[in-house]
Amino acid sequence: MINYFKELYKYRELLWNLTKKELKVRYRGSILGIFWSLLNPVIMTLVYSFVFSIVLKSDIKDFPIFLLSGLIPWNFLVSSLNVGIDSIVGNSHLINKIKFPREILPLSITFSNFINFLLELVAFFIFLIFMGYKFYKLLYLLPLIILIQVFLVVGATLLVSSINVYFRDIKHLLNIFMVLWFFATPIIYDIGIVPGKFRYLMIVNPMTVFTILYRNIFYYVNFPESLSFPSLRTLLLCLSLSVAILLFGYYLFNKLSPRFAEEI
Amino acid sequence: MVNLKNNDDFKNDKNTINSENVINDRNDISDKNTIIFDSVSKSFRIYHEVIPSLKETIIRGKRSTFENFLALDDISFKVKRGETFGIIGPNGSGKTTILKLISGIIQPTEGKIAVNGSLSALLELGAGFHPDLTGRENIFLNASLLGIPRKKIEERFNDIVKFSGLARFIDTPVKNYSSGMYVRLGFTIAINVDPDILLIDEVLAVGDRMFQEKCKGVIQNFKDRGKTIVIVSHDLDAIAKYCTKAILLIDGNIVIEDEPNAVIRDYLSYVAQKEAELAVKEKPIILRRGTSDLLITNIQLIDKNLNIVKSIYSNDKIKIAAEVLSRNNIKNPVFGLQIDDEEGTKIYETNTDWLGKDTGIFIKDRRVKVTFSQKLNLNEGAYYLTVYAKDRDSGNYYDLRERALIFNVRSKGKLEGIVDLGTEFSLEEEKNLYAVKFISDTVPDKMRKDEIYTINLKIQNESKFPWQDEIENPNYPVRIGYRWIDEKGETLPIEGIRTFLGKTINPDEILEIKVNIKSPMKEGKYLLKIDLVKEFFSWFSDLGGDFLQKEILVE
Repeated sequence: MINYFKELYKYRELLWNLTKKELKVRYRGSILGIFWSLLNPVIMTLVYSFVFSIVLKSDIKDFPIFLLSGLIPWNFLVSSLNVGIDSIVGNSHLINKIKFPREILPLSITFSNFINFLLELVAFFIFLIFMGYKFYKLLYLLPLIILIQVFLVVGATLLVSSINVYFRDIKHLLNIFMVLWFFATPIIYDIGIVPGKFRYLMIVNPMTVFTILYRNIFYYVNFPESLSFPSLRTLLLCLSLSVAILLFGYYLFNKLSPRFAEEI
Repeated sequence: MVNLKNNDDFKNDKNTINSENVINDRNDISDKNTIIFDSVSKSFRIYHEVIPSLKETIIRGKRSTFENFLALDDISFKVKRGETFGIIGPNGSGKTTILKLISGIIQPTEGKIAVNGSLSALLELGAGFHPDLTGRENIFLNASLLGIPRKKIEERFNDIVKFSGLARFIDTPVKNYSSGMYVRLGFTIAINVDPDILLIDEVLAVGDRMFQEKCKGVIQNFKDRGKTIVIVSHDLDAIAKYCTKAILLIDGNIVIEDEPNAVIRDYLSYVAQKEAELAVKEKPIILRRGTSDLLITNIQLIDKNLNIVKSIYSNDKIKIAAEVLSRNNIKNPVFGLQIDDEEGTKIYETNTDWLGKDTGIFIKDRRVKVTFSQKLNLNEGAYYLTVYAKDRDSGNYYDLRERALIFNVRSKGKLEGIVDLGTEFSLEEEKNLYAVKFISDTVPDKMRKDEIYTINLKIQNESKFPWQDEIENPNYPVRIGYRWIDEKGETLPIEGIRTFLGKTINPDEILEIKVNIKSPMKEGKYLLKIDLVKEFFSWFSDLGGDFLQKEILVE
C-alpha cells in the first residue's frame, strides 16, 4: 500500500504534465483559448434563460445565477466522464509500450477538468461580486464540498474508463445515463417543486446534494427565506456515497488494470 | 555523445518494478542476476469478436467467446548483470511478450519474474509523443512517462537537444516533424533515462543509416559501462556482434540458450526448413495470356547443384529455366523475366532484347530450353517470378506467365539497395524433353462396349527433368489421358477420364499407376492411345514422345 502511493508520488510529474497537456491541447490553436471553456456555460445559460424565463415564464428570480450554480459543478462531472471514459482505450499506444501507473490517465482528465471547473467558478464568482454578492458563512465550506465532489468524479471516471476497456457499450449507456442523471438532479428546476416522496429518492443522488449546497452558497444567499439545508443524515449519505464510489472505482480499476495492455 | 553518467536517483528505484513478483531468494537476485524468469507462462485471450458488445454479453451470459493462446510456455532464464542478451525467433514466437513482461507492461499468467534495476524500454520510440505539443514539451512529457524527474531532464536538456540534432525544431509541434526526427527525439529521451537495464525491440531497423550507427554506438557505450541490455532483433549480425548470450524462441519455448553464433546457426536452419515447407504449400496464382504461338512451360529455379528449388540464398548463382514450344513459325522472339516482391512492386526485369541477344528463327514445333543464369541478390522474403515470350516488333505476348513461380530468398548477410542482377541468357535445343517409356501394361486385346476397365501401367521418365503432377505443381502439370481412334482414323468424342500421377517422377524413375479407361459405345476395331497429358496446351505425345498404342476389338 505504501509502495503503491510511493510509486504514484513518483509519477506526480506525469500527472501534472498530462493535465497540462490536456489543457494545452484543448485550447492550442484556438483564438479565444481558455475563454472557450467559460463561453460554454455562458451560452448554455443564455439558452436556458430564454427558454425558462421568456418562453415558459418561470418565476425563478435571477435565473442565470440559479442555473449556473448547478450547471458549473454538473459540467465538471459530465466532461470528466465523457472524456475520461476513453482515457485508457484512447491511449493504447502508451499502455502497450510504457509501464506507468495507469490511473494517471483518467486522473489527468479529471484534473484538467477540475482546473477548468475552478476557472469557471472564479469567473462565476467575479460575476456574482459584480452583481452584489452578500458574503455567506457557508462559503468557507466550499472547498470541502468541492473536495467531496472530486471524490465522486474521480471514482466515477476510474469506473467508466476501466469498464470501457472490457465493454465498449458502456459509452452509449453512459450517454443515456447522463441525460437521466441530469434531469434527476435539480439543476434546471428547484428541488422545492418536487413532490415530497420523490424528494427522498432524489437525495440518494449525491449530485442533488451538491447542487443544493452550491445553490445555497451562490444563489439562495440572496433569498435567505428560501435557504434550505440538507439534514446531517443527507450530508453523511452524500459523503459516504461519494467515498464509496471513489473506493469502488479505485478497487475495480486496480483489479482490471494489469490486463489493460492485453485487452485494448 | 551525451554524458551518460550514473545517477543515483535511479538506484533508489531498484526492486520497485514488479514488486509483487519479486522472488524472495535474495542470493539469487544478488548483483549477479539482473533479470530472472522462473517458469514463466503467459497466455493471451484471442477474442472472436473484435468489439465485445454488452447486448451479446447479456444474451450469452458471458463475455465474447475467446480462446487462450499460449505465448510463452514455462520458460526460465537468467540475465546476468552486464550481459547483452539477445532474443531471436520467428514472428509471433513470443519475443516482444518477454520484453513486455520484463518491463511490467503485462503480467505473467504463471511463474515469477524478478527485475533488479531501473529499466528503459526502447519498445517504440516516441510512443508517448503528442503531435500538438512541441519537441520541448514532449521531452518533458515523455520523460515523466518514463518516470524521470523533471530536474534530471532540465539538467540534461541541452545535451538531449544536441544529441538529437533538433535544436532548430525544438519549439515546433512534433506533428510537423519527419518520421526520422520523431524517432531521433524518442531515442534520445529513452537513452537519457540512463537505466540499469535497456530493452531494445527492433529499433535497430528504423531510421537512416547514420542514425542506426548512432544507435549502435549507444549500445556499445552501454555495454562498455557494464549495463544490462536485452535485444530483440531480426538483425542477426547485430545479435552476433553485441550479444554475449542469446536464446532462440520458437512458439513460446526456448529452443536453445547459448552463445549467439550457435543460436543463430540453429535459427537459420529452422528458418530454412520452415521456408522449404512453406514454398511447397503456397501455390502461385496462375495468370496467363498471349497468342499461344509460343508456349512457355516448366518454369523452374535450379540451384548450382542442379536441384529444382523453391528457396535460394541471395548470393548463390541460380538458373531460371523454362521450356519453349513454338506452334507457328516465329522470327526472333523475345524472352524475358520479371521479379516482383510480395507487395507486387517490380524489382527487376530483363529480356533477350535488352540483353542484345538474337534468339533466331523458330519453325513450327521447335522445342528449346531457355535459361537465364544469374545471382538473385535480393533481400530476404518471398518473390514472384514472371516469364514471358513476346514479339519483338509489336510487343504482343506469345505467352505471358505472370507470377508463375513464388520463391523465397534467404540471405546470409544483409543486403541493401537496388542491384543489377547481371543476367546471362542461353538457349539450347531439347530433343528428349518429354521422353516417356511405357514398360508394361495390362491393356486387354478385347473389351466389351461401354464399360470401364482398370489398367495397370508402368511408366518411366526418360527425360532429364522431373515430371510433376498438376496438383503438385500447376506450372508443369502432367496427367495420364487416353483416346480412342476408330478405323477411319478419327478420334472418338469420348471424354477420357484423366488420371493424376499422384507424385513427382524424377528422371529415370519408374511409376506404377492404375488408369481407368472407358470403352467405346459401339462395337468395332479401335486404336487405344494412352499418353501423358499436359493440361495447358496439348497432348503430350503429340510433341514427339512415346505413347502406348494398342489395337482393341470392342464387342
